[in-house]
Amino acid sequence: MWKKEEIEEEVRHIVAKSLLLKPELVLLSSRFFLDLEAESIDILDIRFAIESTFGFKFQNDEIRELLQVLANEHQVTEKDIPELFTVGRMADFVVYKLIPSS
Amino acid sequence: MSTMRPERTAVILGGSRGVGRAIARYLAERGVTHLFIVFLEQVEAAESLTRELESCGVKVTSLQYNLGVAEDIQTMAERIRKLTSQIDYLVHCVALTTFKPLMRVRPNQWDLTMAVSTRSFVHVVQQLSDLMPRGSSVVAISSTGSQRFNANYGALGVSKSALESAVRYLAVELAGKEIRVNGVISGLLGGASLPLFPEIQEVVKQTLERTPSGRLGTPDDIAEAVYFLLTGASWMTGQHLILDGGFCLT
Repeated sequence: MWKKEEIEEEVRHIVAKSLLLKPELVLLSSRFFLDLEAESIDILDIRFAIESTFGFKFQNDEIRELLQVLANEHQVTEKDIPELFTVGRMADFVVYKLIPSS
Repeated sequence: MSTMRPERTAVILGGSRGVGRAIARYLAERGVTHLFIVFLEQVEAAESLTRELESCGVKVTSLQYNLGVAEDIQTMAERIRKLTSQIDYLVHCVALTTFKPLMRVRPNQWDLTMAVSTRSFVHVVQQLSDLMPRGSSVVAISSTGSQRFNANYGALGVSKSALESAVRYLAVELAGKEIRVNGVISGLLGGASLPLFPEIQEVVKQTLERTPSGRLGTPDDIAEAVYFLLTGASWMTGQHLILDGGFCLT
């Protein structure tokens, strides 16, 4: 059974490996597109690595939905999403998938 | 051109949008009775296509799998195997990449481009060819960026070159089973099929200036050629049709 802290650590490492960065440079607060210079293909790569590591599949358009929730929460438009999409947000999503009661 | 017989089954990888969607429609309109549409993300597009084709009397099975992952391809093949005993036509119309100079493509981006756009073709054919009877046919969709330099197209261009090479190898290896393997090399397509290049409008302008036919291609242009390769061209294997409005001649 994964713990929240373990999930966050693992997601940080997955992101670092995908983007060829040192793990210590990838923080939960790091913004994928602005701080880490990730591209959409990287988000897919990270998604696939998360699915393989944690043993679940993202359903349908869950990544898009995750971004839409972010936009709604902050009452911003789609173009502002890069400001909000952080490694921590992705880790939170994995936590939600694996530990729904958290 | 030969006419399709009743009860024909086709698998279209990347069939929910763009060229794949046009191919699905084209085959449905010309007698394919069961279509497997494989897609990764576009659930709504796949659902709307399914509704559209089913209303025309075609059986459609939409399958959401990640063709960049070998295990997913195996799972997909097992599912298809449970739903049909024969595949007459297999079309690979899948690509994923990043549009930027090859010098700036990261290893993970390169690997994902190759896995989805090229490796999946070989792996799916390996998994499904035993369901393909004598006279069946495989077509892979490539692009002119495989043959010549296109700015910001390096990763996919190399991947498509490898895809074309795989077409030739598989054509020889499957010839004994009388399964033909061919490809279509597409020039720049317009409208919603325009790739998300940086400076795409300049690319369009330059392409049109050099294209004798005076227009960009459409998904239906590609579908028409795919249909020819699937159902006609019975002595043609390991070859590619270039569809670019004559661009490569100038």
